[in-house]
Amino acid sequence: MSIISMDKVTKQNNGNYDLKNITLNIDANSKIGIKLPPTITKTLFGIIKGIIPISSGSITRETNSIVYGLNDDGLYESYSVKKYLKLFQKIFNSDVSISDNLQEFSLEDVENTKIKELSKDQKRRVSLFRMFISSSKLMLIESPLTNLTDEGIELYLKAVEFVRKSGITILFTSYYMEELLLLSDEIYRYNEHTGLEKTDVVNEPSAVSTDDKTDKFQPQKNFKVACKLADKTIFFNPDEIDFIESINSVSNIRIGDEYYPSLLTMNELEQKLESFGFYRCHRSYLVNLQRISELISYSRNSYTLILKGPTKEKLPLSRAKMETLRKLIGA
Amino acid sequence: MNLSIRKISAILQLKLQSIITNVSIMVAPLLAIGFVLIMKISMPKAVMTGAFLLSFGVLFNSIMGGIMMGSYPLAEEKEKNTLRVLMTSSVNGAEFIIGSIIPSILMIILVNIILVPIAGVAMSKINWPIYLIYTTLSGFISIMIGYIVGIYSKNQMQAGNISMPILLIFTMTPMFQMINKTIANIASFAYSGTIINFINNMLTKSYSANFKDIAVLTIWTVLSILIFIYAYTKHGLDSE
Repeated sequence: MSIISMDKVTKQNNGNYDLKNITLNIDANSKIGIKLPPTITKTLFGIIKGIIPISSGSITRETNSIVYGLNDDGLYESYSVKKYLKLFQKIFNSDVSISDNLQEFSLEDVENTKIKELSKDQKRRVSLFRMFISSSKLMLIESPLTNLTDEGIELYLKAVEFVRKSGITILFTSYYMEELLLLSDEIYRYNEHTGLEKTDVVNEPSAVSTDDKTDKFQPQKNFKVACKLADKTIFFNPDEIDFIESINSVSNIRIGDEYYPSLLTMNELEQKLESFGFYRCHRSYLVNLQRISELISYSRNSYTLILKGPTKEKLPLSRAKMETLRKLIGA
Repeated sequence: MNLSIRKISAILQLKLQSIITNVSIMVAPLLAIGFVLIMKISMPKAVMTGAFLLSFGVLFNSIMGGIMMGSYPLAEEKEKNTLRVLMTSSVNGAEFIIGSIIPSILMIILVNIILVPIAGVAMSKINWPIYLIYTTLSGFISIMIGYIVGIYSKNQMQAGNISMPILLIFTMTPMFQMINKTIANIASFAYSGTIINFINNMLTKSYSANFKDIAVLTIWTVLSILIFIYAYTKHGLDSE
């Protein structure tokens, strides 16, 4: 059952797109993470909660009990933790017991401490507790792990686990893939031209079995580029990739503004991706031919490829490769 | 718009505490009491009449205090991003405003009453119903002005900068009135001017409610509410 389903939701503001083409189903108990810039998170949350009207598309809400928290939300610093939570208990008219749950949020020892004396880690958990008190069906939270210590992250994740167990669905957004990997199972990336794209994430098996034979069963036409981040491996479809750049002999997959280091070398990648329309335009660049938008010659001996997208990334093209490239793209 | 008594009372408690613990707001009522006390003790009786002391104290408390109690807490909530948390926690603008006005008004009324004995005015000489209505109304107008300032400012510093000139104009009204007749005439149309005239007349001659004073106060009240509603509907409390 979907709590929220959004279909091609678009929000325009003063002629610019704030959000474009958002199609997303938030199922009950799903663990969704969305990678998107902080500037539009507030808009997305407002749209989901229904306090910001949308420009086009449609959105259906199964429930109105939605609460959201942004990264820079403030707390009443002069209040003690208990007093602060009691205030919101009263506002939400909630019957969630504060003293019974303090332990789950690892706040038992600071119950009577003033909020201004808490660490950033603890404040984040107080915020989470506040949202938990609202007994909402859906929580939307922005970058909760940013600037936390390792212990803080661990305790926050424990609290998130508890909140999810009590039947509340949480959607996280962040600009950092690493953060989303820790918080969610289903990860989407927001692209300002195409909207939301799902990223395939596979959890690393705990017992690593190295079986070389599996490689042979891999069909050539179904290749995905694996990048390892934290303890998870992300797979990218070749058509998502803008280009691959070799930096300090590590091949970095470039998608949008982000680099993801790959485990394979440039030569291996070239071999595997050739059949997907990639071309080695330079010793340290492998470009996705579909992303090329312009070819410019600044001097007789050098050419520059300009890629699609807002950054208009420029890649060098050696003269020797020029002819092959022309043939490949049929120009 | 639904109003929930429960939420209003939660905001009320929150605001009461934030006003009492905010030194830069409490400075107004405390200064009002303190100045009146010091001037009464240190200055000769002939200059510092009860009427002068009381009107001075009331101006300080109702106008300076009112504007500060309206603008500072709202600006502080915006500055620290706590207002947004309340607004996304099912508290609506009206509940927030009502919950914040009540403690401010109560504080102004309380100090206005305390000022009477401190200024050395006999309790029996005060026309209590009119005194309370006039001073409370002027406090209310000031709070509204404070909210308008609060809506247009992003932080406490800015709220202070914007409210300072407004605050000076109204608190200095008695000094302007001394300059010449024309300015005194103009000043009598300010709500602060009405309060001063009322207190002076009440304590030196006799005062009966007249049309001009009531009209001036009513127009100021209505006008401040209208401008506030305009600013609120246009920008919301949080004009980011």
